[in-house]
Amino acid sequence: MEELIRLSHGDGGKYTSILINELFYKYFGNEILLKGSDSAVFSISKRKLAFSTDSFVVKPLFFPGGDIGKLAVCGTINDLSVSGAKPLYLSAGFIIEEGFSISDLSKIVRSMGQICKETGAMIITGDTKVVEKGDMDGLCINTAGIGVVENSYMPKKIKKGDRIIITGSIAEHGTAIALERYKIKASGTFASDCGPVYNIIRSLAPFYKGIKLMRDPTRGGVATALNEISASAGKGIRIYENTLPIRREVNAVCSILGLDPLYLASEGRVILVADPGMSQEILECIRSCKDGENSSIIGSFFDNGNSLVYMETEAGGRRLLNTLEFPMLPRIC
Amino acid sequence: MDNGILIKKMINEIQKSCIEKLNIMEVCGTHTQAISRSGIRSLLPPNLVLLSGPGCPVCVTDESLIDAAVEILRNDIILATFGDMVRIRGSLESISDQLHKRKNIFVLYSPLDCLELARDNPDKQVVFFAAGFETTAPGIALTVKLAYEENLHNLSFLTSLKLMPPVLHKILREKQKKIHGLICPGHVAAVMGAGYFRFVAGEYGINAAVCGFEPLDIASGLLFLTKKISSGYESAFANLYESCVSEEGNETAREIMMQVFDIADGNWRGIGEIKKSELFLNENYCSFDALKKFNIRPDKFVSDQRCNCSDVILGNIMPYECRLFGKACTPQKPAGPCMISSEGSCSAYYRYWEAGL
Amino acid sequence: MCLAVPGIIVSIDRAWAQVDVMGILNAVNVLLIDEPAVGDCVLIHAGCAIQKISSDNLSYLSNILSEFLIKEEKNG
Repeated sequence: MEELIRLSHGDGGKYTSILINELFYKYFGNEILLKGSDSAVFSISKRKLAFSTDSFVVKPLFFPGGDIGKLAVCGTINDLSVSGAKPLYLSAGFIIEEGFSISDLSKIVRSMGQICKETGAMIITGDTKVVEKGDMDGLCINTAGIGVVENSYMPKKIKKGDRIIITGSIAEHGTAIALERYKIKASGTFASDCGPVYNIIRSLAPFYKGIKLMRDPTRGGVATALNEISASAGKGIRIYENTLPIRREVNAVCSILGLDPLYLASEGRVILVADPGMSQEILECIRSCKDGENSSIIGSFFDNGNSLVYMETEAGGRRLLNTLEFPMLPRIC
Repeated sequence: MDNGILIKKMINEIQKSCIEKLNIMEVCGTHTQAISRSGIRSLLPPNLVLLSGPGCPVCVTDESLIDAAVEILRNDIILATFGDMVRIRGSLESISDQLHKRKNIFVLYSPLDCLELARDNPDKQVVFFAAGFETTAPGIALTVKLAYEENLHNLSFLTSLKLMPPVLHKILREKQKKIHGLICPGHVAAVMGAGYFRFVAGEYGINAAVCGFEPLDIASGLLFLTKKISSGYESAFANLYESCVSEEGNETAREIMMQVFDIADGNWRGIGEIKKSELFLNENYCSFDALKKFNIRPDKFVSDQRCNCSDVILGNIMPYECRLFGKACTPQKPAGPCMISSEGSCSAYYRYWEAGL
Repeated sequence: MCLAVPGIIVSIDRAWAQVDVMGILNAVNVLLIDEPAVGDCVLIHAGCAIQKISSDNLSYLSNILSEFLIKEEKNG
């Protein structure tokens, strides 16, 4: 195979076939995909379905702990998982800039296949387009996915006193991206938390009746996700700074660059809203799962007729947490 | 004693001491942010009014300089800047407004990173645009020096490097509100020395403390000032950041700064001209001046007088006393720099005011 | 205008040092300080060490202010 993507790789002809066979089929290979039909055809017995889509244009394409491909697959798998669904089938659409390195594309596609193997989800259909050099920046991936809703998980009305739980330490993905972008070296094994959350959510099945909501804190971080939850519940949220699980490396990078971990993305964590009576058991259950060791109850809902999010700080004061309005950039001031 | 407990005790003492109304100015934008993020702002008694001063380099960069950056971007160049500068508007547009036009704009963490940009792009002009005070000026001076030594003639600098004492003199001479105490910027003092700020107490009889940026540092500064003010002291001065701040500061850094820059009159957004308040590249390094290289003469821009940013920056009014505050000017649709910048006084104030916290 | 963090110099190679900031290694230029040495604690701003840090400010403050507060409590 050649080294660089050319326009002919996207025109549906001979070179597209080569790309499909030698790259996508190689790493995604499954019965449905390998049929090579225009549409993937499959049956699902009379079950409630969940359907989600997401597009990814992250820069840099490769970061400690992952790449745009892993992010794209986990993104859709996790959106399905937090809706209480088991992810089954995905599509993957690629828009590639002419001149893109095929070796890089290969690494990205391989890591997508890896996540599928780990989770049992399958990429069963896809598309590739190539645009002229300069018309876009590198690579964009869209994934869409279908899952089957299991165990009758249903979001429920949030009440005053409901607890907020995070399944692990926060802001690791955003920090990993910042490390790459601003060329700061991390000693040790610090990496993005990008990964599937399905196993943790499945383990919580016995507690679904007490789980009111599940949300993954991606773009905009935990603070933005909490604002969205507060707005839709019409109730206020209070969290406690001393309960937030934040790794030392995250604090270090944020101090150096002037970023705020509350607004940096996590890509392998879930925010849960839970009945106060069940929160402790739910916490223990998550902590016994892989990647759930740092789970913590970080706050609760209050009702003063307003939706706002604030944090009780370690100094004993209060800090308002608004939604992130603009992408956070490093500061010197 | 645990820090959290110590801070609570200090806040308690501050609350007890604040019998009458006190105005304390904190000049540094980083202090403004730290006071909000630590939650200390929410703990202060209503009698303790915190005035935010002009130490937000983004807020005081003249519009014409941002216009110059936008003008320079019409050429096929690479613009590198600090994240702080990206969203602030000049007379019309900001640098972030140029992003959709597919311009080459890089946000850097360190000014030294622009040397690599210049090396990696020998056929392109690279312009580094930055604002800052005495904390940042030595690093930028170092970058200019290294560019000169390496003959990186495709690199040039567009700077708004301001000095603290001239604007403090202006505020303290002309003040409309009585200022009882001043929290001095700890990292400016790290470079320039604690002695750099003694004039606040010595010449103006105002209690002053050099403070760091952790919650404990800020609480200590407020406690010191509140105690001195309520005991009737004037002219008390304390360096509460001794670990980083010596009386004389960092002479090495200052020498490098003065090898590259001269001091001249500067234009402060919303305030106007202040004599001998800004650093400019001296004649040895003038070939690195972006304004000269691209032949741009920044117009004397007449500020939009609708917003009262200058009065807020000078501590003459509180943010909520500006007629646009909360109505025509909010963080979502800011009218002036004090609301755009996250360290701007209006932005910091608005979020607490809005939440009733 | 003053975002700066403390870190400990782990190694130096002429103008550049590897500085440990809470477990992250940050490449920092040391030309703005006098005689930087491995083991020095420095204040880092925008990729440059701008001053050496002489001691732990928090413990210095804690000592001063604990006394101040205890004295005030006694008087108050």
